Amino acid sequence: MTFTLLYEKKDRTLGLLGRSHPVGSAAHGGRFTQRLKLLDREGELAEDVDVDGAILRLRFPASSIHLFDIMRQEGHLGDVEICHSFSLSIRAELRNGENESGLDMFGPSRLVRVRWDGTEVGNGLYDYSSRVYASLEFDRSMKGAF
Amino acid sequence: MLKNADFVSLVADAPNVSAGSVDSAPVVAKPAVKRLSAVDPSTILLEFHGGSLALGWCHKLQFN
Repeated sequence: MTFTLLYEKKDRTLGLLGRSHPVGSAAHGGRFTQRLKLLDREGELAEDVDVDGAILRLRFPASSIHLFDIMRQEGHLGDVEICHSFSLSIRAELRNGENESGLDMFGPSRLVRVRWDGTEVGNGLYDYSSRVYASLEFDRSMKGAF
Repeated sequence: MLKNADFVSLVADAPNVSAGSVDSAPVVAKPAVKRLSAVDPSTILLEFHGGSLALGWCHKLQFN
């Protein structure tokens, strides 16, 4: 599955804000997961983008065609759209210039988010006998510091 | 350099009151592997061995 994040412009057309990007997952045997990458649109964000009305458009592979029958049977489908709520966490990151090397003169790197991964046995609960992974996500490159 | 520094530990913070059974001796675990993400250099990946979590406890990362 791949996805794109869209926003509604002032002229009511949809603009692209981000798209999915495959990232290897150590916790799942090297399989790839899709994570959202925002495009570098800082200038337009200030002027034009209303993220309150952002749209996440999912694209499923043809092999998942029966997924919609299952979702309809289990009550996840309305007449015309899929209703599903989820948590959205966004990390803004500076990657140009001195931020690329982590050598920012305006202070230390800031830890923005910790993402946990492992054998999940419940919501936020992990099998204590299995390996567990923590991803420390900073606001800039950690190449220099690491 | 963070790669060789002892900068983070996984510690048991408090017992989970809804857990059926709870380990009596929480452990402090160091990451077995620390590496910089190849696809995202702003992310440091920590890997902890199986058994690093104490049964029935909530855990947190402690930074030195």
